[in-house]
Order: sequence, then structure tokens, then C-alpha cells
Amino acid sequence: MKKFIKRSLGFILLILMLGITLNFFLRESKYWGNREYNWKIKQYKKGNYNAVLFGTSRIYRGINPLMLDSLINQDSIGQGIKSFNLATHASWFNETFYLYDQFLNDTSLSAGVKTVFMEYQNIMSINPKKLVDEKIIYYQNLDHYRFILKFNFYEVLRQPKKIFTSAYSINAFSFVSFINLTNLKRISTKLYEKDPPEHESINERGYLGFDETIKSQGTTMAGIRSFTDNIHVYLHQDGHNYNPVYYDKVMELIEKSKQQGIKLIFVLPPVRLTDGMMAVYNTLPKENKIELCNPRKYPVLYEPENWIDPIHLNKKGSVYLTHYLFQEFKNLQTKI
Amino acid sequence: MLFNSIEFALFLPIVFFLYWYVANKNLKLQNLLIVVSSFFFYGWWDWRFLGLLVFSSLVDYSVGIALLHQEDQKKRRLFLTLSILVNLGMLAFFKYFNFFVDSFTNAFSFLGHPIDARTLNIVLPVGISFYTFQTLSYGIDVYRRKLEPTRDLVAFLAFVSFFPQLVAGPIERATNLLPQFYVKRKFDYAKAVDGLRQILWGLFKKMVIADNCAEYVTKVFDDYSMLNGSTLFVGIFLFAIQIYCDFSGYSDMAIGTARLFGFSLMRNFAFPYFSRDIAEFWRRWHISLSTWFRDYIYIPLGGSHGSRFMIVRNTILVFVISGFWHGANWTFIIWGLLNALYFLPLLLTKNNRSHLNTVAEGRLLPTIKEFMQMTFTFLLTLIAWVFFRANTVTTAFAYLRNMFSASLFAVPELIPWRTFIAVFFFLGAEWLQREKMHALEFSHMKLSPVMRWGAYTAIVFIILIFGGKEQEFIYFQF
Repeated sequence: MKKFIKRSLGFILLILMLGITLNFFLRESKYWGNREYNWKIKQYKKGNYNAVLFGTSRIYRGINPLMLDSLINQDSIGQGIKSFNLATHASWFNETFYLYDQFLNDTSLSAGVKTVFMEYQNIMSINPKKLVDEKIIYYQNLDHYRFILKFNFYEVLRQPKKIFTSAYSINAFSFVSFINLTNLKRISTKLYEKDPPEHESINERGYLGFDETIKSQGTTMAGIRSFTDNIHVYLHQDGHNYNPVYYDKVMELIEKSKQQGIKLIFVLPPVRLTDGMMAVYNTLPKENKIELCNPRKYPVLYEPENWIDPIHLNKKGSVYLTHYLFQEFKNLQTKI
Repeated sequence: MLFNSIEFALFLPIVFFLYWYVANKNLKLQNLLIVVSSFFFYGWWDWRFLGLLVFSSLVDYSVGIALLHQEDQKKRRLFLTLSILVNLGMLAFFKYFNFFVDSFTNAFSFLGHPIDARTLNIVLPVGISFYTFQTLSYGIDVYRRKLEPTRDLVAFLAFVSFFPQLVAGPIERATNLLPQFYVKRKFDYAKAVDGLRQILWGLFKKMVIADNCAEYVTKVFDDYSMLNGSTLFVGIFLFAIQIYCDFSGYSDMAIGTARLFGFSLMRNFAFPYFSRDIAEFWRRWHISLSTWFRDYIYIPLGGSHGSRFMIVRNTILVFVISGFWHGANWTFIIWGLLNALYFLPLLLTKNNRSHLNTVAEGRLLPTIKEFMQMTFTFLLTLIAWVFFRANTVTTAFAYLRNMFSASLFAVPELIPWRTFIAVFFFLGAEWLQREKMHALEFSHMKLSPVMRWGAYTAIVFIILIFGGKEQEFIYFQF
């Protein structure tokens, strides 16, 4: 038995060592698990941009940089802005943090950028079924694991009933971080590298709207209503009970951006709000946030005809969203 | 919990450690640990169906005890009937209820008397077809006095729920597996190492071959009406490889895992695509199910004894039931029927047992005759697999019609070269090792440790690099 255990552990160690070594030498792209982002970065490198958008499909499908630039440049706040939409499908906050960190670290990408609009999101736990997806694995590292560990610790202090969810989340992330140490999927991803399926339809600035002729599902209305119910409570709640790790991370990004001459602005699109995300959001400096999540202020953004499903606006909706982003950006600039 | 999942990678070493280091002094404790871990393993999918598993086990355990003291033949038959009714009743309800309702509704509509019948939204409990057959075999063997019924409930629960083979077989006979729970298991280094090799080969088959084939096969079957004949041929060829690697990969992992715990499970696949006729194919494909049908249905019906009519009837019946076991769909029934039609000429001309050895035994290459026989047999199975894979009978016929068109000889529209290369190497490895239990059985070879470890490491890395997206095993749906 001892011989069996020794040899089995020896074999696992051998695989780990070889995996880590191979990983070290083959670490070509830091975004290997997000094919859309890989593709967008290639397009981004072809031009010179001074504004960038980060986030999920809400931003990818919701903000058209061509329209945004034209509105800003025609207005008195015009600064010769040229923006690119780097948002990709399902890039949740943890992934967006990672992508943005890499973006800042790579000066060939961030040099010349003055403004970054980043979708403000909730920090969600990982779905067990998605654990081994390359899109989850690729951004796991020890820094991220440390963040998750600390974040969950404070989540439990904030809301003790969350202890099981948090424990599960910690375990899940620790395991995936470990996998990523020896994960060689990046090699096959490189071999099988494909452009995102809709790449021919994405416009030159990384935006792709949803066709408004596709009628939204019957559930859309109910879906939208379900997240508009408590919006005003959240928008006006004080931020005393926030998770300091979440807050620190967001502030760290703002600070890091500032040091590189970039203004980071968190954009809150029409979305289902949660107590945890809003507790942090409400404490952020006013010059670093834009709120487009207000049914009273922007009722048109909550009309079902502007949605394709309870998560995404269609092309028509995205025109409104881009317009409101411009207006709020203008207000922000004027106030400053 | 899937064998190719992270959860299982954590679960297995924990259970292994507890089994050999904590519970090793006490047989009952070891069996109890198997029961608890098996329930955990099964409950990971859906804990609600654990009740069914326990219920089925308790019914057959009680029937066994009742049969032990019962000499009256009528009452013995009554107990056996109870066991059969409960097990088949569960299976009929969860697996076939909607099929029967739909079929009756369609039949009445066809006859001009439409009826309004409602189907239920029934979820099929994972592995129900496997464990009900396993418990049924226990009841029948006890009834036939081939097996002494057990009084040890924990051992019986462990036999029914033994996690390596609980959800997709091999369907074990009580006569083989149950007695293994009565004796103290000793750790056998050689057996455990070979178990690990078999698990590794199973993972390779599932993750590298089957999962990569699956992507192409799905595409072809989704768009079959727009693709040319040769592409459809490539599609069904890769499906044949996919289903073999998916299912035999699972069996390899099950057998290998059981060996880690000191158990020997029956062989389920013996390189079936190297068969020279359909009879040989069926001796090598899903052996645990084929022999189950042979022993509990075919032979009791009279087998190949009796009039020609009886032989034909028994054969067709067994193949059709075997098809129906796979799923509540006419496609599976036709698949079974087609295999019966392939098999009957061999049986009626008494040529069904002409190939009992391994092809090209002791030689590297087959003769031209053997090669032609294998190719022909494989082509026959391909046609049958179309019915197995298609969602409806109409789709299957349309697929075959499009495949056997002039475009069969055109250049395929999609060729997954990497998958083809992997399949080529895989078939080569299986061919070279076809006289062994599995392709990584190195015990007979004098390979240096560096060579062996090099091979294992290479396979692990191939799995890590080229493993397709994690997908459920095809046979979980049956």
C-alpha cells in the first residue's frame, strides 16, 4: 500500500511539475480562455483609441462606440474621443477585474487611453457546472484566490447566513486556481483558435446590437419588472454595511488607473440590483460612477420593446443606452 | 457525479483513504462506507431518487429472505413476481410511461379515433435501467436456487449501489459481485496499479476521443439535410467511435475504480469493432447486458432450441427488448430489430459461433479475408447506429437516404482532421492490445519504468490538452 501511495503521489507530482513548467513557457496569451476578448484585442490594436469600454454582454450589446464618439465629439465636451468596446459575453466582475488589470499592465494597450467605462457588477459565486470551463479557468491565479478568500470572509461577517455559499465559493475557486497552475487547455485553445461566431457582424469598434425585429419573449416584461421593483430602495440606501474587500478592489482599480492618467468610470446599466453590490456602489466617489439604472429617470430603458430578453437591450434600446451614457458623461464632465 | 469531473477527482481519493486506512480493520465498516459513499455519489445528481434505489434494494432483499424459508413453489413464484413487478414497474413508469401514452394516442388517431391523453413531465432517474436489472438478477438467481440469499442488508445495499458501476454498469450478477462483499478485501498492488491504468485509458477514450467526436457528430446530425453523403458517412463513422469510446470508457473507469477497492467486475467490452461477424460483435459489445438478456430472457424462452419459428421469435424478441431497454423510442426498437436481422442468418445456418477467438491471434496484421469481414461487420453496425443516434425514425431514414446518394463518393464538406488523427492512433493502440483486457495492460510487456511512466504522462497530457468539453456519458440516459 505504501508503495502504491508513494508512486501515485510521485506521479501526481511529476504531472504537476511538468504542467507548471509547460505552462510557464507556453503562457503566450493572458486571455486564452476568452476568445471574444482575444479577437477584440486584435482589432483594438489596429487603431489608436483613447476610450475603452469593459464589461459583459450588457455593455458589448448595449453601447455603440461609434454613436458615443459622434455624440461626444459634436458636443461642447468633445475631446476628439475615439472609443472601443472591449466588453465580452458573460465577463463577470472577477473576470473583468482580471482583464482590466492585464490591460493596465500592458502599456502597449493602455498608453493613450484617457477614459475607461466599466460596467459595475455584483460579485457572483461560480456555478459548479462552469468550474472547468476555459473561460473561468484562465483568469484564476493566486491574487484572485486571495481576493475571493478575503471577500468571502467579509461576506460572512456581513451576512452570517451566507456561510455555506461562501465556503463553497472558496473551495470552488481554490480548486480552479489550482487547476490553472497546470492547465494546458491553453495549448489546444491556441491550436483550435477560432474567431467568435458573430465576428463578421461586430462593428469596427467592437459593438454588436441585438436585432430589434426579434420580438422579446413574453417573460421579458415580468423579468424586467422583477428587477425594477426595489431599484429605488437600493439606489438610495446608505453604504454602511459594505464589503470592504469589494470596495478596496474597486478603489484600487480607480487609483491604479489614475496613476496611468486614466479616468475609470463605473457604469451601472439597467440590471437587477443586489444589496451587496449597491452597498459598495453608493460609497464610490461621484466622479467615478454613472447610473443608468433608474426607471424614473429613464423610463424608456424599461420598455419591453427595447429588450430582447430580461438581460439584454436590443439595438433600439442600445441607442437609448448609448445616448444616456453620453448625457451622464457630459453631466459628469460639466460638474468637474 | 461524473467520473470525468472535478468532484469525482476529489471524492475518489477521500473514499480510497477512508476505505483502506480507517475502515480496513472491519469488513462491515468497509461495506457501510461503500454504501454511504455510493449514496453520496448517486445523490450528487439528485438526492430525491435515492429513495427509489433504497426501495428497489429493500424489496429484493426482503424477497430474497422470503424465498429462503419458502418451499411452496406457488408462493416462491409469487415472491419472484412481486420483485419483477416492482422493478419493471418502476422502470415502466419512469422510462416508458410517456412513450406508451404517445404511442396509444398516435395509434388511435391513426385509426380515426383521436383521444386526448396527457403525458407527464417525468424525469428519468440516472442509472435506473442498470440497477433494476442488477436487483432483478438477484431475485431470479435466488428463486432458481443458484444463489444463497443474503441476510446481510449492508452487503446487499453495497452490492446494489456500488458506486463504480451504479449508474452505467457493467450490470453485475449477484453471483459474481455479492460474494465479494462477504470476504475481507486485501490491497493488491498489481491489481490497483492496473486499475489506475484502466481508469486512465477510460478517461482518454471518453475525454479525448468520444467528446471530440461528439462535437462533429452533433453538427452533422443537426444539419444532415444540408450535407452531402460522404459527410454523413463521416458523421456516422465518428458516432460509432464516439458511442464505443463513451460507453466502454465509462466501463473501463468503473472496472478500474472497483479494482482500487479490491473488487473484480465483469468485462463489458472486448474490442467489438474488431469482430468478423455480428455474432462476434454481440459477444464483445456491452457484454454484461447481452449475457443478462441471454440468461434471463433468451434461454428461458427456449434459446436456439426448438423449431425454426421459435428460434427466430426468441432472437427477434431479445434484440427488440434490448433495443427498447436503451430508450423509449421507436428508433431503438428498429435498431434492435436490425441487429436481429443481421444475426439471424448466422444463427439459422449455425455460423454464429465460428469466431470465438480473437482476430489475427498471435499476428500483427489480419489476413485480407479477416480485414474484409471486419469492415463488412463494421459497416453493418454503422447503418444500425443511424437509428440509434437519430431522434426519430423519419430522421434516420432521411439520413440514410441522403447518405446513400451519389454524393457518398464526393469529398466530405467537413473533415475534423485532428479528431481523425486521434481516432487513427486510438484504433491502432486498441488493435495492438486486442488480446488483452484493455489497451494499457502492460503487465505482459517488459517495458522499462521510464517507458511506462512516459506513456502514462503522455496520455495525461493529451487528456489535459485535447480533452473535449465535459459531457455526460451517453448511456446515462438509458
